[in-house]
Amino acid sequence: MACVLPYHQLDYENAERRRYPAIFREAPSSRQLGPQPLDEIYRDQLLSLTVDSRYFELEHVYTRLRDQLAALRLLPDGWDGYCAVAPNEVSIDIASRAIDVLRKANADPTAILPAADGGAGICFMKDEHYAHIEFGNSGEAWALMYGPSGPPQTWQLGSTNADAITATWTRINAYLQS
Amino acid sequence: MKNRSRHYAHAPITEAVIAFHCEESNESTLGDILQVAAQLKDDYPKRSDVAQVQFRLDTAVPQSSNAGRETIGYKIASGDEKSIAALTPSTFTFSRLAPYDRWETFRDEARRVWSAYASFCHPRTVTRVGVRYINRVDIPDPHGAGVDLDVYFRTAPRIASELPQAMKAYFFRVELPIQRPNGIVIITETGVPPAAPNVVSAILDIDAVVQNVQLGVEDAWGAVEQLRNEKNAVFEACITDATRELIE
Repeated sequence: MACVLPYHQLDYENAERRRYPAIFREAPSSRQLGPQPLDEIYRDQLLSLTVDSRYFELEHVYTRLRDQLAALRLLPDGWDGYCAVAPNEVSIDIASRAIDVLRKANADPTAILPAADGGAGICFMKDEHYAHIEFGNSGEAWALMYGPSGPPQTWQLGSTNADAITATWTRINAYLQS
Repeated sequence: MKNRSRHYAHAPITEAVIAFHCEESNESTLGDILQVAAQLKDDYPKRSDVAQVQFRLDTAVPQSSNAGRETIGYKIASGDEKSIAALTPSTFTFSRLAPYDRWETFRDEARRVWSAYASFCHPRTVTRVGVRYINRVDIPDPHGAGVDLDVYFRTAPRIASELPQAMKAYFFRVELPIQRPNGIVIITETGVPPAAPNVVSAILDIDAVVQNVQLGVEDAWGAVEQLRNEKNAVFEACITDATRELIE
């Protein structure tokens, strides 16, 4: 049943706040939120398809990664309780494109996490081996690998284009399988 | 269903799967699977665990739970990780990710891996056979206005005309009986993130299955051929000429 409130009860300011919470900075804007996370039931349905299917197994991994990346937009500066700078649009955009490249390579990242130096990192783990590709807020990218034996290896990517990401993944993959 | 099969130059297959559930022999162990992996190591150098995680919740004691991770098999993969076999003492799954060559190549490689599996694990009978093809149709959407699924698929979700026709997400699944062999075909349609800018990517997942059977090895591979024919017929029935134009 429709109900009309008496005019004297209308609170225009609060009504505006309810209508545009992002403008009043009471909720993140759609830009800050990025793509909306998938509904849990829909996600479970997708999960049901992963039985016997590597393709859907990876789709599920990347759905989660994209949600994690979108959530990075909500981080404030100092998110680690100290002085860490939040990832900016530069690092998030490069990480997003890197995810697309890694998806085509059937890579299996473990997580996307914010970097303490400012930026976003795509992490990989297998057994006792760890690696990540970190995209800084300045647009630079670095890779790191370490494991139970041998010294850690780190290097700067010459570029963040598809070829550079693919080459980095090839090297990381070989290390994780070693 | 009529047996209709066509070859498409740009077939939208993202994964093909042949899967068997077996009645395992009493002696079959993880060690046998490791021997299969060792025999196929030249072509399948990558190995990872197939694990099962078990949770036990004791409702009498709030917040008590027990989790255990158990390795129940191994997954072996080719160097490019596009051919994968997941092996446990009671299940055999062989899958091929894109690019997909042709049925004969795929089936023969699956059978070669099966031979290694059978020689060590000695499954008694095959109780379930599945042939599954996951197709991703990339439909041009140059203006980002969305695409009408009915133009591309003859089996698709239908929405009452009074309701908004723009779908944010969809997941459509039906199970249909098939007669030759006596089984079911599971058709699943859903959307996935677009494979490229200005396209809408739609999944057409067709899984043809016979289950609750007791088949010998030759009969099981015979069922694979029949299920593949059913799968082809379902694919042809589900797509329209607009889709054929995209993949020819």
